[in-house]
Amino acid sequence: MLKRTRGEKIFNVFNIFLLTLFSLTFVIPYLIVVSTSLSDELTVLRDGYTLIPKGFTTAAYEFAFKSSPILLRAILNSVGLLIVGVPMSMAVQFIAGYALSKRFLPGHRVLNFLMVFTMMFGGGLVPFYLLVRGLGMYNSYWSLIIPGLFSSYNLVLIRNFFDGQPAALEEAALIDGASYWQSFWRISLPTAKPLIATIGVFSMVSSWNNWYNAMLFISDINKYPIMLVVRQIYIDFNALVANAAAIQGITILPTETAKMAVIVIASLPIIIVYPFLQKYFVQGVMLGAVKE
Amino acid sequence: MKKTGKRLLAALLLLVMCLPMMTGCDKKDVSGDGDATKLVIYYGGNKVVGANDAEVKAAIEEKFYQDTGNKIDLEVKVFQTSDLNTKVDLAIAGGEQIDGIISNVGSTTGLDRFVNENAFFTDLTPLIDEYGSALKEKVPQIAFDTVTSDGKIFAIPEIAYEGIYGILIRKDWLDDAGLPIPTTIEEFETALRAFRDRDSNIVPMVGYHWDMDRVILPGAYNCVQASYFYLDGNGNIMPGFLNPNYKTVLETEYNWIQEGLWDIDNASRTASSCDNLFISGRAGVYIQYPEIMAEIDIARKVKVADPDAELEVIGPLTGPDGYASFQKANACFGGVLVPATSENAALMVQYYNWLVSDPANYELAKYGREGYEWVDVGEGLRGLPEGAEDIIATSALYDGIFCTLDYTTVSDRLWDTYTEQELRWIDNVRHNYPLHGDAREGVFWPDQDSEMAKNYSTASDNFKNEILTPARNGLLNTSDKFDAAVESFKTANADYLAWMNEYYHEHKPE
Amino acid sequence: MVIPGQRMTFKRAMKKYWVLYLMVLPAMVWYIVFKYIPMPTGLIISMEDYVPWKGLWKSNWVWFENYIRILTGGALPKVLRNTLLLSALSLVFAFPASIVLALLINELRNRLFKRTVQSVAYLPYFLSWTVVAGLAFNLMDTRFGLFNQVLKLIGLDPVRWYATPSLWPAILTVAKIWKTTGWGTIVFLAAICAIDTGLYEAAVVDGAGRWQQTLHVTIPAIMPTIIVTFILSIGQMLASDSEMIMAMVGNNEILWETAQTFETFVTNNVMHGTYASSATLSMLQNTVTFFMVWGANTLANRRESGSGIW
Repeated sequence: MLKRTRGEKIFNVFNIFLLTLFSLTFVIPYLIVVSTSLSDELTVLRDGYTLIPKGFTTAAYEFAFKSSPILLRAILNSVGLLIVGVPMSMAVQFIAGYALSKRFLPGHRVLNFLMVFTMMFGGGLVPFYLLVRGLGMYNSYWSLIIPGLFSSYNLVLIRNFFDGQPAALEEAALIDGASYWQSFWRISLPTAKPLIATIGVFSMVSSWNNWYNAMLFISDINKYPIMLVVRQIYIDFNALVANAAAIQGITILPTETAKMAVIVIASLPIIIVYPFLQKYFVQGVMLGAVKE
Repeated sequence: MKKTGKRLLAALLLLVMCLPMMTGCDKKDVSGDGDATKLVIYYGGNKVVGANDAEVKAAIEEKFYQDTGNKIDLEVKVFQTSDLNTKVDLAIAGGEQIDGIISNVGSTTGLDRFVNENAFFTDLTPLIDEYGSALKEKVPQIAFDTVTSDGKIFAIPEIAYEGIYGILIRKDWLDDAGLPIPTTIEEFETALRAFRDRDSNIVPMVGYHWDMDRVILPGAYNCVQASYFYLDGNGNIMPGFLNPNYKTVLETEYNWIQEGLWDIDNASRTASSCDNLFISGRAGVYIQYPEIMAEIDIARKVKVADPDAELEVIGPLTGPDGYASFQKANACFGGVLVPATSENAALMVQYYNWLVSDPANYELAKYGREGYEWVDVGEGLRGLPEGAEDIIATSALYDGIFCTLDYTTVSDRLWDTYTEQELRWIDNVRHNYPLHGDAREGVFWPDQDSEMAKNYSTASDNFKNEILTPARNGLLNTSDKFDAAVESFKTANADYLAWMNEYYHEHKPE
Repeated sequence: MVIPGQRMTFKRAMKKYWVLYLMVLPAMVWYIVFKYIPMPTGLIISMEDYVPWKGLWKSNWVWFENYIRILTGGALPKVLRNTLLLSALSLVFAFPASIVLALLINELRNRLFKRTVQSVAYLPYFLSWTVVAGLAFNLMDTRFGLFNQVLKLIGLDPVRWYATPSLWPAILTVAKIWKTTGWGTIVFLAAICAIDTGLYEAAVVDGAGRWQQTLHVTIPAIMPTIIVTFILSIGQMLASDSEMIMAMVGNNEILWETAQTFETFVTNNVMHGTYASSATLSMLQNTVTFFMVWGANTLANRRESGSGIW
């Protein structure tokens, strides 16, 4: 057991204090959104955003689901896209990143350069649109998965990770006659758990937040992913307010609070999933893997 | 590079060279099935899908067939305004059928870009002569002028109200201070001071500077808002911000901020914050988007928050020289343009002509089927059918997507839920207030790319940054710099102003 | 793995490494189809008076007119300065902030607290800029906002936050940091996890305290990740977070003095022919960015071969 020096004790206190402060600034705005969504609409119209729900009510959520019957469907769509798209994306990116990390591979520098080059130069919207349509993906879920399969940013991270692994790790197996595939699958990949978790999170969030491709290619509203619906809902709510003049008596539609509710609904799944992934961010994966 | 690397690169480059050929056109010819012609219309705006859209569509098509003998299959694609142009362009690039694009005229993001050099519209002039008799009757000439370029009508115009603004004020606060309804600028200032002194947490007036331009100040000083144009003493067309009277507007705005009569954060306060202040009783005058329907909505919310509150919508304030007016909205904000590739221009004109030819047609397309989506309650109003209140609370029966343009000369049925007071307000706003409009209305302005146009644009921005913005935010009283700045602007941009004047006089409406 | 004396021909390479080439094949096909095929189009559009209805091949060819128009547009120097300043501030402050936060979190001993902080750190990332701008306004409202209330309490004059352009590079940077730092720690925390704990044990045996462990074990171990992420961030330098600026600054013209960047400038002054203009702008941005990234990458590779991004 290490004896803690005085300096270290002061640092600990300072660190905890600082991180608590930061955490509060991170959490409070989100709490405000959640609380506002659970508040009474009139109170919100009068007093603005609030940290604690005032006049607790779930009217906003009811309104959101009733006025947008596709909301639930959209959530399911997005979850489905995650389940299919993320493993696909991770699989193809990991094998590519692994292969690209082998410096002895002829053409390795060229391939890497070409892959990175695309991060900086792009072709524009019209050819992309025509391409995806030409490939028959119009109004298909595939238009949301396939154009997003690869990210040069991810490939760079993966490639760098495998590049940083000591060669000794795989040498033993390769000399014994294992193929690169077997070495990848049995040796390299298992040590990459934190990386898998990281790329997994990036892929999931990217897939979940994507609305642009759906806006371009999906015409059937039952296929809309959640973020497109969220975006559309703001407009819809404004239109409904205009229609509300038709109602006898003074009814205030809970549109402001429902906007907050929709933000919560759309972000909740990801926020809930992330802490579960944290167990992969555990140190010590490399322990004892290589005996020099 | 290693040899294998080079070979690989060569192979890839070859592939890359060949394949751009693939991004050619994908001509899709989608005509209606059976004998009904499909009409595809793109619309950008706030509309929702209604529960009864399909039934209304069938009713419209049925009646159109009976009245004209044409079978059509209407397809209206609704997008957010920010997405409309992207969707239209992609559809065009992909060779898809588009028969109508509904958007505004007078900005580069609207229909203008189809009309400029790279023209892509069907000239509707002969078609309107042949099929548009009702349009010519019901739609005033100024609307047609707005959608005419070089003698060609490029869109079917709409017609909307020109009077749409009002000033929303807390009448009970006036009563508390023993003040009458303000009719002059002086009385208005007195009222604002009284509001300010009620409580230290009150912002007497909330609204942006363009709202001020619309309803409070320029009208009282015989000038127009900065973005409009006016005719000066010599009959020359000039931008609003060069008007000598605008100096007084700036000075007043500066003083009002200094005195705490106008929101000091007027340039950045969010719309919902403006609403918060007014609904919670911490603001006395509301002009954030002073359009009457929006103001009625806010007024209702105030009354729910505070049942004792009393509100009033008042007319333009008179200035020291006796001038008073609200800004006049353009009679025609835009219309539906038929792209050059459409084969159904004649049918499009016929459809819109049919809409305006009989109020029954227009009401069917705009409000829905009588008895199902609305009921006639007399006095030119409409009400909800039985049991529809629940549906309206969360969605709509029919939001008028098959007729998104306004033709207020044909019919305009308000909901019967408006109170007498609200109806009075609407009537005043639409018919009883003096209005002052844009002198350039009715003239279509071509895209300008010349050197002098660019200089003019830069000079305008500079003028705004140096003279307009500081005053509007209470940072500097620029009225003493105003005259000199105007002179130097006129001198530096004399060529452009001369060209603009010439063009205007050549093309102005009769 | 090269047998000395034998040239590595294409055929031999394929035979020996066919598994690896196969693993890379899906990526290569995807990149060619989705990135390289559309790529020449951007360049072509920037040289045309492009309109979608004339298409790529029939629009008027104008060579470099579009480029000249953008480069000689009056506001360019100011807009360029704003963009670079914001990006530089972001690079200098936001980038290290993620690293520092990751290191601080790593130092926490209490597992529960550590996991809690990690879980909340990225919450701001999920709020849209519209919501954040609304909350920011409530803080900086001249009369009623929290900031000025606090200033009043300590006896200072209120500040007109929304009317002082000089404050805004700082305000936008702070907002950016707040929103993205937590998310940025993910990649560094993962890198820290991958460090062999044996290295720490060795350091302890050598008598290193916690600070020295961080300095001599943690930081060098994640340095490759830092370098790579840094180079990738340079790739973003000429872009600007236009969503952030539109939401936070909106129509407030006073602030455009320091807050208007390339993209917002193009949006606000929709120039003749938006497609050609934005394609041209992209080409300009991308070309300059490319050279900057190339420079940074070469430096990184010179320092330690293979540590760059290609």
